[in-house]
Amino acid sequence: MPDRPPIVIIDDDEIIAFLFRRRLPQRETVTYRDGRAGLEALHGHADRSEPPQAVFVDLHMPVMDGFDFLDRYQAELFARLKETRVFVMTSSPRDHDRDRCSRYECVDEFIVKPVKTDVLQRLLD
Amino acid sequence: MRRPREPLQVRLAGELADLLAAISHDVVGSTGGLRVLSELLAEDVAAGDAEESAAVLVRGVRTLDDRVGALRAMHRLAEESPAEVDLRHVAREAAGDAGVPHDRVEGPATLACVRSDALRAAIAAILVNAQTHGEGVRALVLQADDEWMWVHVGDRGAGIAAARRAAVLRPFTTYREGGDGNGLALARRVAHLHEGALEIDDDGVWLGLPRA
Repeated sequence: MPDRPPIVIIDDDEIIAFLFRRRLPQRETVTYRDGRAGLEALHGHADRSEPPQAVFVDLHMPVMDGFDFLDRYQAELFARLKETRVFVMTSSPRDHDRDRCSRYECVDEFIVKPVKTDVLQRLLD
Repeated sequence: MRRPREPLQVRLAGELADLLAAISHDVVGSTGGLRVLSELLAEDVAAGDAEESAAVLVRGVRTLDDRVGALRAMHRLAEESPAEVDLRHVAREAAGDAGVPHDRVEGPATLACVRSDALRAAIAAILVNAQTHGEGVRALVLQADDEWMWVHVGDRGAGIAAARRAAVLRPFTTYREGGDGNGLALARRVAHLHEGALEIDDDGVWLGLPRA
């Protein structure tokens, strides 16, 4: 595996995580099934000064949903992981969700699942 | 005596919006991933290494089938014909289903014309929610006056946070690992089948039915 920052995927949908792995075979992808687990792991990245290249987070998850995650990420991690880009994923692109995501300074882009290969390459380039 | 906070039309519109959101996200939305995965599987079969993608696809199809089945089960609740029963008896049966002692049911015998199987499932779902997510059932109380009957379930935990009370009524929404996220959505569906209400406040969950 090349020595590049990992890609963090926070989504309880196993298929989405699998597709990320298959589309990025040369990259290290790490998956968490809910916002709380992802947040804890990202604190670890910040503590070790090892920012991931990107975080892809779903909005609809058990335990801690995407918006609760973004609230915490913005408050606790955004300033510590300045190099990390955050992409919000959803399978039902509602204007209300898109508008709400646009209010987070930490969010780079709002994208629709399943993420297409060319979109993924563009986001990571 | 308690009365619903919102008119029936507003309650029904909220349920419909949540149902459409759930269908859009959790049913239709998941088909996109399945389609891409099935295309990937075809490539893997051709390459002679399809074991992992096939296993992921099978689990994904099962999850989708479970969700469709849950929605169909909610729809079929309306097929039961209403009949006059003692609401306290229904609550006691629901308590048994949820593993709560029958004698925890407080309140008078109350005759009502309801879909008793659906109502039993609704009360049991609320009790299971309190058992698994609320550190146990603190209260299971029936209240009634001339116009409304209420089943109140209080839990021993911190209750459902105010910011999450609307979300937990949407199908497939859970804040706990392992839950299917359908218990309170089903309870609301049953309440609305009787033109009633399902409300959550600091004291717990209230299922209300009009007596007319």
